Amino acid sequence: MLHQVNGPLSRELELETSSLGLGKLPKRLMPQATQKLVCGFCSTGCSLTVHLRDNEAVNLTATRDYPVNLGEACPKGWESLTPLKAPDRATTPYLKDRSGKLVPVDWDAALSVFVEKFKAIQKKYGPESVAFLSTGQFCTEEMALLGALAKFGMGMVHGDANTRQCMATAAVAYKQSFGFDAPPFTYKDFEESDVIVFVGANPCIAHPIMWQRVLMNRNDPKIIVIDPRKTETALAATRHYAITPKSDLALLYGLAHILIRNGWINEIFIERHTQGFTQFAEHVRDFTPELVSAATGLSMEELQELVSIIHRGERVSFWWTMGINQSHEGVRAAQAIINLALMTGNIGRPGTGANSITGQCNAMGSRLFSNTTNLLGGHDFLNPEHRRKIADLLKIDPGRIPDKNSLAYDQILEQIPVNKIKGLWVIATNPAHSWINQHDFREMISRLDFLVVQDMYHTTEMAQLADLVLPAAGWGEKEGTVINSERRVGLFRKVAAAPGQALADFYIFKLIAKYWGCEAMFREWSSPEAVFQIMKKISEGTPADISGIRDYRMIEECGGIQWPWTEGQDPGAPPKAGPLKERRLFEDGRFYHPDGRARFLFDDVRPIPEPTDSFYPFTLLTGRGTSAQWHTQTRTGKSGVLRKLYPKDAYVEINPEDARRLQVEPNEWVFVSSLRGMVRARAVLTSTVKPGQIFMAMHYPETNRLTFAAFDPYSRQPSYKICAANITRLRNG
Amino acid sequence: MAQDLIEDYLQQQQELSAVEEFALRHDFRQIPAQERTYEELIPKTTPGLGQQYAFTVDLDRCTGCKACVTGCHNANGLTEDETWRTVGLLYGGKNGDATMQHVTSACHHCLDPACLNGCPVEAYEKDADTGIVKHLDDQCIGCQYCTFTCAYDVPKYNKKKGIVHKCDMCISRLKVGEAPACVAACPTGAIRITLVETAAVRNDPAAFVNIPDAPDSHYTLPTTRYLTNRIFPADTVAVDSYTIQPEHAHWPLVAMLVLTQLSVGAFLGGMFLGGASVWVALAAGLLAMGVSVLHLGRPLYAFRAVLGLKHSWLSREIVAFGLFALLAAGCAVFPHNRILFVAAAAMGLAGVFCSVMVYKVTQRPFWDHPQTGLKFFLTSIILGAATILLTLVVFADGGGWRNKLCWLVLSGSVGKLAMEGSFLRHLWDSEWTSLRKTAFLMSRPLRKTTNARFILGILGGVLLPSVWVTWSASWTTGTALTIAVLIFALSLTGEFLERFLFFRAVVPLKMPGGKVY
Repeated sequence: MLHQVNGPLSRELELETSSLGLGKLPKRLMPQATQKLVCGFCSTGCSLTVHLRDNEAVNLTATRDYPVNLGEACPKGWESLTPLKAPDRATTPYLKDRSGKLVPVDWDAALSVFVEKFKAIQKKYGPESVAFLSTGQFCTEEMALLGALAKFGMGMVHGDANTRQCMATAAVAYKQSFGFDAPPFTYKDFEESDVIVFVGANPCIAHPIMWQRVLMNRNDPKIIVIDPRKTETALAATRHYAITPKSDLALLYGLAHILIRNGWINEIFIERHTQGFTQFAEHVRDFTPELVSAATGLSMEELQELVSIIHRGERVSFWWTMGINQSHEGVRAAQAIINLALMTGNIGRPGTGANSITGQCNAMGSRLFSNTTNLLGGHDFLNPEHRRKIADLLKIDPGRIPDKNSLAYDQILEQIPVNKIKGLWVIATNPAHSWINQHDFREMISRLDFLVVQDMYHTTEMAQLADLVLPAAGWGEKEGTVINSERRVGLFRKVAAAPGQALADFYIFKLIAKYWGCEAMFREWSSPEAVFQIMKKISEGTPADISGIRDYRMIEECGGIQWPWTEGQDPGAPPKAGPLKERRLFEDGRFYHPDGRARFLFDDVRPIPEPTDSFYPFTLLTGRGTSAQWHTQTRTGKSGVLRKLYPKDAYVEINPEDARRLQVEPNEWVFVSSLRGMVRARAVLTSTVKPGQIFMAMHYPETNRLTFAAFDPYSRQPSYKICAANITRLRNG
Repeated sequence: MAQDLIEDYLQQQQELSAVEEFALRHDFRQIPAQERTYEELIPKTTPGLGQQYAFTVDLDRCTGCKACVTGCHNANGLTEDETWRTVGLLYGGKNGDATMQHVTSACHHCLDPACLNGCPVEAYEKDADTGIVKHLDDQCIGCQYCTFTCAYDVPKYNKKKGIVHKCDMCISRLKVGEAPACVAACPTGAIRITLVETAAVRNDPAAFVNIPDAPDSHYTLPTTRYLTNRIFPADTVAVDSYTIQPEHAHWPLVAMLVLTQLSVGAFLGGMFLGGASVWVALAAGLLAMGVSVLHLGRPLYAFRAVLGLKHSWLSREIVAFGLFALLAAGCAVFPHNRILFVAAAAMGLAGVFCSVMVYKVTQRPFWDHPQTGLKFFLTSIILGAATILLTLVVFADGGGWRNKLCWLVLSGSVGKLAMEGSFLRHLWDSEWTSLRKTAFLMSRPLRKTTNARFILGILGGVLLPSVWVTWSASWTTGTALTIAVLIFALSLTGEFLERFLFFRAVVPLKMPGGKVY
């Protein structure tokens, strides 16, 4: 009584050695079995080992024997199960009543209204007047079914996904340069480089598990970071080049200029494997160090030094993320990086490559199978042979396949006010927070006749605008495959029951096929794994061939399988050994253009879309805030643990010099304004942003009330990264 | 037909039998597959003589991903949003040398743990073999005093369970050669367990937890080492140093302090004047002790609070006031026993002294301040005098003493209010010091309370007593009673508010925090 060393309270936190090879675990949550699933947040594609008791997920640990994450995970992964239990899960369909309030209805009513409204719109305005906006956050099988259902079954022509916001630029850049959208790398390349160049990427915060691989590099690599901000990655790097925002294209051309001038190029590789180098060399002749120094704010010495580091590297890898992709000239900037890799022969060998790190867990699946920009499997809507091939494989009438391309995301939205698109179906994405320039976005959305939002939560900003909300099951409540940044096909598994009437997106699509009256077309699409078999057939003979992947079990046994994988690939490997754990592309120097050569592609540098002026003298930069936050926070905002790891309120980082001039004090509420609007944010004083620049994180809805809607002309990706803004104090004096 | 399909899918959605497929059930490898990497991250041997386990953090590898926080949460089965690790952020430098540094920290397993020293119930032990500071959950009564004494904000109070929890360096994992959860969860291997020579910690405490904006290591002798090749610019500060918020009020403690001090003051007066004051003092003392129990998460085990007498000022405070109450009760029954009176008075004063020490030893600058002792004893004088005055008026007694008591209330209040008011001069300190933060909290977020405290103090402690000493000779009994009640009530409320500010405006010692706007 007086001295109690052990007892019920101590036992609640007692640990015990598990019999499942997981070491000591909380006794209270001791698993009877485990199940491995790929994480549902970012494109790193970590495997999480979910602990099961009575078949229900109770806890998780990062999978130790998975080649991606080797036993580690970021906070989002660790907290994956928590958002499933959030009280605001949509547990029933909701329909907007006359007063504008969302009220619960049953599935039959919801689906009947869905079909009735969309069919009526199509009847009145034509089949193209209903479009869909989907996601990079669910399974490839669901993307394929949605794309096929919407376009082949329901007669839609236009559909796009939030992947437009994160990697459209990389996809277009690769497609044009290599002949196919093919990120060439494997994560092992992080470990094998001797020079690692990050352009517009902050893996320490955005992809911590990739940074883990960088730190596993035993070659004492030189790490270069090119970024206007002194990010965590910049501080950890050997050299940080803080260029003027959006001077990246000039810089990259300038680097090419110096490499060519010094003769530091791989002429043999250029000669054998590329096309267009002469024109490119001609183009960059104008990008002299003087000019580039003026454009980027780097000194001539810094430019020389950077080029020397690249030149002296034996195995140089280039990596980019949103700093490049979310730009008004992102495709050409990405290709300028590709050009550097090609001209120095840094591709196809260990530790090299022009490598795009993707954003969402299944952005890569979307690129192949969403049936939006490309016809299923990376095919072309405009190519009659491709249409016939897909029609034959799916046993449908080739006439059901649109013979024209879909409009891109921004173009779909623009069609709403001109009455060309009147019905919109938004699935697993939250553009009422994430789309650039919210003022215009909300104006366009308000002109729809009918808006359907399909999501895990009925509380997202987008769901609140909907006429009909369809409740979806989430990650962990359904199965299917996803593809990570290094082309690795991994598995989602079902480890939790969905709440209430929520259904996997797969089932929702099947039900809509039924109510629409086109279910016959999808008879073979009976389960996610059946769809996977269809996808295999579609992929056969394409660069992303996955026909050698037998089934889900093989993916599980191999620890994920990178595409391409065909039967009998890897002749050197022992029979039945399965694919090697880490594979990269272009080891034979052959690219996917018919002539086997990669292209040097380039353009003139264009002025930034919205320069600063005396009213809006600050350059507003945007990006990720912390590793504990994901996109619009519909999931990460549901975890109390994660909420402790990031700022609650929107904040704006400002250089102390500027703050002093404006008499802004630390932590003070300030107004940040642009021509689009004015928001309140907390001032954070830090010299990691340069004078004249300010930074806001994308996770707060305030940020996109300020951003300027400019787009890359090739990829139609929004240029989130910069616009002109101003800061004023809430109280004057 | 369509309805059947809906039902079918809803049923399939709820089925978890598919979970069975490929679920891993039989893998009897006892040691995790990652054992290889563990070898570099935990010591090969157990601590020898003069050694203990310690965290070593390579700051150059800590990039602020915070996986350690969540890994610890899951692997230790913590509930809801409880976390045992935090990751702070430092900013510093001008443009060229601008830097930011994330700092991960958990319990520093100090050589002289303030949690252990403060604990009144011996719910902490410093493990003799490993040096790990362990919390004994079942021994804890939930007094939360360790959350005051720890300089690093480590013990976390779990309201549902009514006890605190803290990091035990995964002692049970270390015992079998497994890495602690945070060590295993760090993607970059920034956190290691090492053996530290305790003599090295004693000889040079400043070499441990050597982080800008972290508390002085001499207080508790923490053992965590932070390694870096970076040089922090002189202006480096924690990003949360400007985001201070008022602390919890701890109402039971507010009431307990004010009432015990009133009780001791009233008793001392009653000792000389006799009469009902002793009874009133006793009642206030008992009420104070009753209220203080409300602060405990597990009040049933309150009796354990005597265990820490050797080292805990909280134990001593409880014992002193307990004996005071006992002796005061004796005095009430045997009003002519001088020895009892002297013993009770001594014990009462000792109790107030212990109260002062309870807060002083936390090293929180606002509490570890000469004003704390003066405040507590002046409260005794002011409220003791006001109580006796009221008692005398009620019992129509001690006519000659009334004016003297009023003078006591008046002078005590003037002195105390002037002293408290002078504290606000820290608003103009040139550095953003802890005392300036306290003054800031009083003048901004707690402004209304601060204003009310001074208004009530001036009314009840200065104006009305002045009126009394000037005009009371001509008053009827009714008027005198009204004014005495007002002096008592206003002064008491004023003192309550002063003590409320004492808790709410204090700035705790802690490690640098993260962005928490």
